[in-house]
Amino acid sequence: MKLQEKEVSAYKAEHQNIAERLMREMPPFKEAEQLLELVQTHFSLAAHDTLHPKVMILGSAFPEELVYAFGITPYWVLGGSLQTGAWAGELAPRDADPVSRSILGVLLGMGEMACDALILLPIISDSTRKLAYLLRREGLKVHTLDIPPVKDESAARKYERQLELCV
Amino acid sequence: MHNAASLVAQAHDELRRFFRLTEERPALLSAPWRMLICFSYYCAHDLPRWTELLARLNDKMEASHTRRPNRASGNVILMGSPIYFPNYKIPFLLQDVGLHVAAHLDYTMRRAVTALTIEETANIVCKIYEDNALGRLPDARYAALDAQYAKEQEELAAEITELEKAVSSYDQGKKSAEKFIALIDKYQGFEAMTNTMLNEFIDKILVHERDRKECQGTTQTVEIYFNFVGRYIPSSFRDVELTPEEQEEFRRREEQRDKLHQAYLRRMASGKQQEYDRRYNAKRKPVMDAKRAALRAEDMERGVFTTAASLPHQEPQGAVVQARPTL
Repeated sequence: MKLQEKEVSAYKAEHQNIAERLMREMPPFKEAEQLLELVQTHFSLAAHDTLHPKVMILGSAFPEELVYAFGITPYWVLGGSLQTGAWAGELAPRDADPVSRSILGVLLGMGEMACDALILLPIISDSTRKLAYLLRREGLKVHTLDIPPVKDESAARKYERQLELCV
Repeated sequence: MHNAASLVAQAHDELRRFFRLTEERPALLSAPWRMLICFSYYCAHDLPRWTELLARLNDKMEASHTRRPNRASGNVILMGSPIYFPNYKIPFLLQDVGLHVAAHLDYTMRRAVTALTIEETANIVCKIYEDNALGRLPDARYAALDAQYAKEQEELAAEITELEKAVSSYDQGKKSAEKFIALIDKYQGFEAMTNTMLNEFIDKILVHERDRKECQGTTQTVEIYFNFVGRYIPSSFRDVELTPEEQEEFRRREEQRDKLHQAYLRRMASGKQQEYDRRYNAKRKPVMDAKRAALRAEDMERGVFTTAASLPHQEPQGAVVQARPTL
């Protein structure tokens, strides 16, 4: 999907506003500035064109140790903004939560970048389940991990089995 | 796998240290900056470098002289939302507007963090003791550091006690309220009040002494304690604010009562009151006796009052003992 010029400029303006707000409250530490740069790069559209991540993790519920163990640094997509939510448009189901909607928007905005990556998606709600279905339908490689809502012994065994399957 | 786990654990440790420092010194970073720095973990393309960067930032923050501001602001107990990493936004924003998060509903996690900090402090104390014993740390410096860590440990222990108290009182209050609501549901739409209902609803009633003795128009406090909810005063029974006219009337009446009471006390002290009581009682007794006799005669005529002497004579009878089956 190719974003319209208007959509790109709205995203950039949003990006710029947040950066300006943070700059106004800049703490007196050099490291804080470096961390801000790191986050800005992560969200910049220009960087998206050059990045080719092997593994993408959607949401924060996936144990990242598994990915690092293969010597791969995961590319996290934890959500986006109002604008990225708008990119998902009518593609996302009407009852999709804002986080799932904005994640879908970010993936659409990434264009080719998401095509080659393995997407790891922890299923924590009905919306994430629908998200997995939509991404698979678009031809992306998606591996899901069910996070059991009940924390008991059988759930732990199920969780372990799923982690083994991931590996 | 072990290396990867250790890499991630180190990063998480630094993040926890960052949480602790920013909580202790919220003036150092605003809430958006705290959120940004926590989020930067997910943007790191080189995790060891990111961990190093955060460690340096933590060191600088630790060395900073900005201390925790006075906790005169309101305390908040967070509940209804899982306070797990990385859901740090709500506590950060609350702290940013000057509120102090006194306890989380999931207090076990916070308690564990505090206990861990106590343990860490104990380890540091051991280390500085060793350094001092080996001559690597001068005595004066050791004494200052030891005093500082002892104080920190005391503060943390007090925090654990405070958290446990807050959560236990919250749990207790919640249970009591639920029981009281169940009781109200049980007697919903009642028509007559029974002794059982009273016993179930009321724990105790405390009746205080009259505010002014020997005075007919005085006030008296009665406290009603309900089961599960304690003393509850309906809004219609609470103190009302008097208008200036009513206040003036109240003051005038109290003054009058004071005057009468003082006169009574003077009469009691001089013996005149007792003399008056004797004279008054001597006069009143025959009048009261006559009234009582007239009432009794009337009752006897109507058959309401009967004297033992007017009953028919009967011989005393022994009680009948019923036979019991043997066991």
